[in-house]
Amino acid sequence: MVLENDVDVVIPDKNLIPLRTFPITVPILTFQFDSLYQPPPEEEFTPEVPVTEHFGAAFSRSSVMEILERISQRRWAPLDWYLLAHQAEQLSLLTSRHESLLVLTNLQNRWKKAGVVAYPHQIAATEQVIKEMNGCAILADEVGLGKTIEACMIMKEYMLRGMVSRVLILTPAGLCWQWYGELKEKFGVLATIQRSEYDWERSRVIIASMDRAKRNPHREIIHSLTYDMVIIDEAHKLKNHKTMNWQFVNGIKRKYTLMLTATPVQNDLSELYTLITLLKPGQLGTYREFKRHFVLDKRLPRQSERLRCLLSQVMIRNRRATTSVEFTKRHVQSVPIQFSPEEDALYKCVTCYMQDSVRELGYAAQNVLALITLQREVCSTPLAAAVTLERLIGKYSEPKMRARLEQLHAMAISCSTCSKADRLIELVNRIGDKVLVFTEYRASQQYLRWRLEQHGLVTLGFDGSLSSSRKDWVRELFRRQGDVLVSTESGGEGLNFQFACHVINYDLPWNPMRLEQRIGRVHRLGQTRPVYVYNMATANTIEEHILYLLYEKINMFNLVIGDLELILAELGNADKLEARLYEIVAETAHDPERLRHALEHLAQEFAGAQAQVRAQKEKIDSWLTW
Amino acid sequence: MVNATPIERNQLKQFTVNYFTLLGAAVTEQGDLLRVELLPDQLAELEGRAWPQSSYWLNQPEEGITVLYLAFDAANVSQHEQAELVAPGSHRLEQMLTSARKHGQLAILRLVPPGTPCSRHQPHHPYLLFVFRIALEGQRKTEQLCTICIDMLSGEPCPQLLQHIKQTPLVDKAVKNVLPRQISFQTSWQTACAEVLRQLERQDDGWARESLLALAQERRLVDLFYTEQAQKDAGRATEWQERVAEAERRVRPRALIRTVQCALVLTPESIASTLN
Repeated sequence: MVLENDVDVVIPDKNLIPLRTFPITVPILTFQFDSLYQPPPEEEFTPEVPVTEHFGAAFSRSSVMEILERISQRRWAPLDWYLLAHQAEQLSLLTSRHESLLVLTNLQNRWKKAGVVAYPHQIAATEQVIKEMNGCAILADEVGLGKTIEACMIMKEYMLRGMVSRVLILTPAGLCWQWYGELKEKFGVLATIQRSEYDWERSRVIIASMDRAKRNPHREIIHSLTYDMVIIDEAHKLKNHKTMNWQFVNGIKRKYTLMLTATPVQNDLSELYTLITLLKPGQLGTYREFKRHFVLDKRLPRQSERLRCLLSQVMIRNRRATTSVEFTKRHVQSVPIQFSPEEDALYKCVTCYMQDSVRELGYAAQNVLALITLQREVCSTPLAAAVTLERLIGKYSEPKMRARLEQLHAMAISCSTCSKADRLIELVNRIGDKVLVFTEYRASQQYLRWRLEQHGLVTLGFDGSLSSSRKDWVRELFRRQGDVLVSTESGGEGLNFQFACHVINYDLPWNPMRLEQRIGRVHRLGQTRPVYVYNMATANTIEEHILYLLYEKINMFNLVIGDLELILAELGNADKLEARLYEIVAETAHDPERLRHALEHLAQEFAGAQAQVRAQKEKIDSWLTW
Repeated sequence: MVNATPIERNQLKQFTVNYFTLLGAAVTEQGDLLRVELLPDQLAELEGRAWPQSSYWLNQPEEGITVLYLAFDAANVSQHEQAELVAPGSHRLEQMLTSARKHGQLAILRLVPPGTPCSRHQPHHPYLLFVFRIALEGQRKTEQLCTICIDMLSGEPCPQLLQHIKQTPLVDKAVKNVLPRQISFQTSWQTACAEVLRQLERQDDGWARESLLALAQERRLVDLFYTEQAQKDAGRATEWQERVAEAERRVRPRALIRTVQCALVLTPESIASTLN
């Protein structure tokens, strides 16, 4: 039998799994149209003619062409509309007369609905960039203080004043959707995520990955265009002027530039120089002058006061300690699960199979990955393991191997209990509020939804296959009528679920960043209630070890929001950590003591990186605080 | 947040009432708020979307009607949980302005002098009235409107008609007897543009001087930096030019002028003859 939503599963004839497709509740819901910001169309102007010796003037050809076209079509308006339009023109002059931020008035209603609050430090930063820095600034707030919001506020303010229309946002690939979501949801700006080379010219607000944009043919196209504003996220990647990144950004024709980074300098003052020179050449003089005036040693500035003064003209750094930002409390709770004898037998057989296979096939990454995934799936739901086993059976032709897989498959599909799902239902009922449940596997997602619905709960599914508008829709359904959202996607493409405050990690991801992103869907600026995180882990399984590492050793659930990213960057990156975990589990498959020891070692490395990050932060603050 | 002055608030309220009345919506006062009832097509017009709309993003107003509660003072927004502020920069105001502009860009108007017998059959003199929006951009941006009237027979600007228009009722009824125009619409626009430039020339250009000073400061930094760089590496000359161009994009003073409205004003010959 085939399940809905592309998951091919042979469903056993047992009462654990229904003999029909899983029912999915889709409450009827309709939407109010979300009226988004429409950038004015691209205009053509006549060549500039001098008016006085100090300035010239150009006339918009596009505007008069529109009128001439209307004349030729005899599209005359009634007198009342003409007079009203004239009144509109006069009123729109008020906009340019007011010096205070228009963006706050413009977004007041949207923010009220979305639960967004602009913090005083964000408003001050926006005003400072526009009024004092003339749209060129490094936004270097500490992590978690909302630099993205500040950048978007600045951009929108310029848009409302008719000074910015074409915008390029360069960001790491993984953050494109986040930017897209923030712009759409909080600022009513519909941006395009760059996919083809035609997007560069046709999109007015475009989000692109730096790694893609800097390569041809994109690089050449970007360099041929002129942008009103360029926003560079994670700008610390531009601190070396010899890199392709730096040279690419340096070649972009632009008017205003915003660079976002929490670490404008890490080890060497010259990094700061390079970054500022890209933003405003000459601000710190030539490199020789900079070294002569401001560098005592590469990590020690001289004339700190003068340096700070120059930096304060182009850089804003807000620190947690000096702002009013307060995150609500995060309560983390482990939910231990005991396997039923059936499940335990399945887990042991799969583990045994894994150990044998690793011995036989070696530690080749692909083999190990598939086998460990299988082991993790057993911890999730027997159904998830059955799906993978089914796939593996199809892959192997060797009779002995095939027979063993078939035996495991039979065990998985005949497993009549799922203790973890039982516990989940119990937990959800106990919570009695909206809950986000995260699982790693699509099969588990379907199964959990079915189980939860059996208990009268309205569930919704959220996964990477949904289009962005569909995701909006599902989120709105969840907000209005849903009880449980079962998601396989941690990033959520920038969507926030602040209206909920309970997160259940049904399975734990091995990439800590994904775990942080999951929690970040509800625990972020603007959340008004304490957040409860429940981590489900089955005793005496690999899950227990991972929870031990993340929770007890790394203490990651209580890290300062945003710090994890910096720590992981210090360690290499999050993917590297995940790969290390896979490696450790494969290598110590036979020896739980060795596994524990290896995890301890990894935790120590993490602690080292954490100390390093803390030291760096203190150093940056000593240089950049004014 | 922008809070309009009392005078501005009155203007905004008057405009809002006019706009929704013309749109055919029911407008009533509710305390300090304006209550507006909109049918789906009226809401679509306000929000700038097509009507009827596609099926996916269905609109669900209560019983087909959407009710807006509009406040003109930030202090009154709390009077109703759905109240929205109408102030410079607010989203609702922007929507109304865009909609109004779209519908009232072009008109034929007839001057009807009070007390003067005036028939649709008597000869009428055609004038073209252009409304320009001038954005003075430099270190800061300010905007102003400028209205220019062009005589379509002589091809000359006719500022005197503007005074008449302010004092004389206008109607948009058609006229049988219009004297044939001697110049094209395009030529009259060009004449109007020249007149706008003349008016700009007469204005104080302190804003431009201030921007030039700021530009000079920015340029000084850039030039100091690149003089040394270009000596070492001739290839950086292009980069130098680009950085200068970037500073100019930001602060170089310039006037960007858009034609925002146009009206063909038909004036009884008896009045037109007194204007020049």
